[in-house]
Amino acid sequence: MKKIIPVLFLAVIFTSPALVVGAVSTSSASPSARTKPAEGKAQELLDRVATKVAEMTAQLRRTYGGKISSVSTDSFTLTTPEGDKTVTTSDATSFYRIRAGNRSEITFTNLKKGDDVLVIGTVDPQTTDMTAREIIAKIKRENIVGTITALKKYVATVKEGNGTETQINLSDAVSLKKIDPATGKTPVAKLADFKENSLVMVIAYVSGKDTDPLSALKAVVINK
Amino acid sequence: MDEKFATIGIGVALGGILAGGIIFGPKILEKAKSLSKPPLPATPVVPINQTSTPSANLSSVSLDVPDDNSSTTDNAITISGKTAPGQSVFIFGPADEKVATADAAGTFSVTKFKLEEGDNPISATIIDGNGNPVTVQKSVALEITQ
Repeated sequence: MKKIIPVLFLAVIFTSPALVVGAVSTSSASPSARTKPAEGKAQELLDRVATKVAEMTAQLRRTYGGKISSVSTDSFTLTTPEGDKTVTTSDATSFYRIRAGNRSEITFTNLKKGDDVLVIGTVDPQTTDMTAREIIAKIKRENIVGTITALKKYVATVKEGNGTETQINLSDAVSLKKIDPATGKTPVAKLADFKENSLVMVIAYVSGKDTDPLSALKAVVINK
Repeated sequence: MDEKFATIGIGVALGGILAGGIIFGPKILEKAKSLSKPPLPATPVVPINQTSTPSANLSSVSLDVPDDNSSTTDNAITISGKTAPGQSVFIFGPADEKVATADAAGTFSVTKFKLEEGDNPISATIIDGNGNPVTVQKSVALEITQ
C-alpha cells in the first residue's frame, strides 16, 4: 500500500501538465473546426473567380470571320454568319495578310470593302461588337466532306451529308492523300484514286467567280 | 534504492501513458471513426440482357473541344468529342488529318493536331450504318505571334 501512494502521486504529477496540454489543444482545435465553413466559402469564391477568368479568356479568344462591308476611320463593318458586326481597331491591333501560305504585315489602310478577314479580339457582351487584337486578311477556305457523285476532268461534284452539292477542281490541290481507317496512315494519293462514290474531305477556296468550281488546296480520299 | 527507482519509473510510465491518452486520444478516436465509415455504394451493375444507352447513336458525332470560333497560340491542339462506341472518326483540317476510334463510352480524341496560321476549319466525320458521311465542324484560329 505504501508503494502505491508514491506511484499514484507521480502519475498525478505527470498527468496534470498533460491535462493542461490536452485542454489547450482541444481549444485550439475547435476554432479550426469553426473555420471549416469559412474555408468552404473561400474555395467557392476562388472557383467563381476562376470561372470568371476562364469566361474572360474565352471572350478574349473569340474570332469573327467574314467580308468587310464598309470601312471608316479606325473601324469597319464585318458581315459574318452571325450578322453584321462593328470591328474597332487601335494602336495595339496587328494586321496581316496571308496569301498562298505566305504571311505579310499590312496596315489598316490596306483593308478594303469585300476583303475576307478573320478578326481575333474581345467581344462586347452587350453589343457583340469586337475590339480587334489581330486582323488577318485571307482567302476564305471551306472544309467540305462528302461523296463524289460526278467526276469530269478532275472537277468533282461532292455531295455533303446535308445534301449540298459543290463542284471542286481537284487538279488544283497541292496535297492529295488517302486515309486508311484501320491504320490511320495517310499515304500520298493520285488523282486517279478519286473516283465516283469515293468519300472525300477537301479544303477548297473560291478562286474565280462565285459560279466557278472551287479550287482544292488539299484533298483526302477515305478508303472504305 | 532500487525499489525507489522502480516506483518512480512506474509512476512516470503511468503518467506518460495517461498524458498520451489525453493528448492523442481524441485524434486517434477521430481517425478510427473515419476508418469505420460505411463504404461508398458500389457501381450499379447493368444486367447483361439490358443494353446501356450510349452517349450518341451510330449516326451522330459531336466536337467538345475546341470551341467554335475560338483562337489559340498553340500550333498543335487536342480535339475531342463524342460518337458511338467503337466508331472511327476522321478529323480533317487544313494542316492535318487523323483517325480516332471512340472508346466504350463513345469518347474520342486526337492530340497534337496541327494548325495553320489564321483560320482552321476542322471537321470530324463518321460513316453511318448506310455508308453516308456525318460531319460536324468547328473553326479555330491560330494567332500570329511574332
